[in-house]
Amino acid sequence: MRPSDAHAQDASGGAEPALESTSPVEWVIAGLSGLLLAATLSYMVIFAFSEPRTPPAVTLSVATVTTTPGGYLVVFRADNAGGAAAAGVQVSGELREGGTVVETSQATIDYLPQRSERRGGLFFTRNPEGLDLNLRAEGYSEP
Amino acid sequence: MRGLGRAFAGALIFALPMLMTMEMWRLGFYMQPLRLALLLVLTVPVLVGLSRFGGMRPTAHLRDDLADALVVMLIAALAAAFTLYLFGILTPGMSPREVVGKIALQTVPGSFGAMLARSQLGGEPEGEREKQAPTYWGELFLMGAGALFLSFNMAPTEEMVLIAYKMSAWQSVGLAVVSLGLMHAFVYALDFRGGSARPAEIPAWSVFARLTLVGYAIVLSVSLFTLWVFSRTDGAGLQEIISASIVLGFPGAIGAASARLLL
Repeated sequence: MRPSDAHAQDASGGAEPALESTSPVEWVIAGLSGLLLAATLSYMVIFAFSEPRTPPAVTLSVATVTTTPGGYLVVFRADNAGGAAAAGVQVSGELREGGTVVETSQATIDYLPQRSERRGGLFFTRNPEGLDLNLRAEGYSEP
Repeated sequence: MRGLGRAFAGALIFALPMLMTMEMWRLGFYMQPLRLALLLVLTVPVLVGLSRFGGMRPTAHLRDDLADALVVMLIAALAAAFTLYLFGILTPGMSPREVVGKIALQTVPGSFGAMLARSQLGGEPEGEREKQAPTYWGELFLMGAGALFLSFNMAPTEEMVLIAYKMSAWQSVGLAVVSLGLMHAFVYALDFRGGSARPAEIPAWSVFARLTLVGYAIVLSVSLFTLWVFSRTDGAGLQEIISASIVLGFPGAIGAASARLLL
């Protein structure tokens, strides 16, 4: 079955297939889809104009501290309240005892989208409970 | 109902490579919202056009094609949301912007797939439904759609820009020539099913200039558009942009040629 050549002026002589028209149910689905599409578009356009492209604003907070076979794990939560996504966010944690740093750990968050949160963990050999734990975002690159 | 199921399957088959591409998830949130909106808007007429040339069912009116295009987009969005959720890529703690962006971006390839599912995986045997032979403009449209579909697969990846960096100017020129040659050969020389035999009265150079050359120009424009949509051209020099367009135009040319064969 070789379809007719695209360039030949071919008057379709064969039996015409029955043309289907759209049933009411399909129109309802189509209407819903159209609404959803319009909503998505408006959301994106409104977002583009209302949201100032403020730089990433990362805040870190400790979610949990647990023990691991090698020591202790501090799970942190990184919130980006800014209007732009950050890539390769470097997170460092310092344990201080009376003002002197006794241990540091680092982690990298690959992507931290705007107005979103991601989690990560820092391993320590000393127990963070009872010591001063200081979390800091050190830097990022633009995705 | 079975048609909807088929569309869902098509959306999965054609969009899976992109659903499982890391860059696509990231683009969902760092892509410029206006460009994403423009991409979604442009998807509708392309789907309507594809529906004319194959699509879910033989349609009587343009408004039926529009209905199909919208239905297919909804199905693609559902398929994308469902799959991304199963993959654990949509999680609580993500902003609405991120979730909407990720799903909306995947809707584009998914809806293409869902629309193609009918023409490629349709239940009725080939030939029972006489295909309308596309006009010249129809052929150009199909080439553009084919190029868009294939370049959409590749454009989000880092490799496009990386390959462009690695290629010398001569290699870029060579790739462009090879793309052109393959495009022509796919349709006219290799005698695939659906290929076109050149009518004897039209000289070879005419077919080459009117279809292959124009087609490649469309492919390059589509490549450039796709790169721009994905912010790959921002801050890039002219030479780099041209080079990346040629690299992306290679799969685009294959896609354009296959679209003429398949649809």
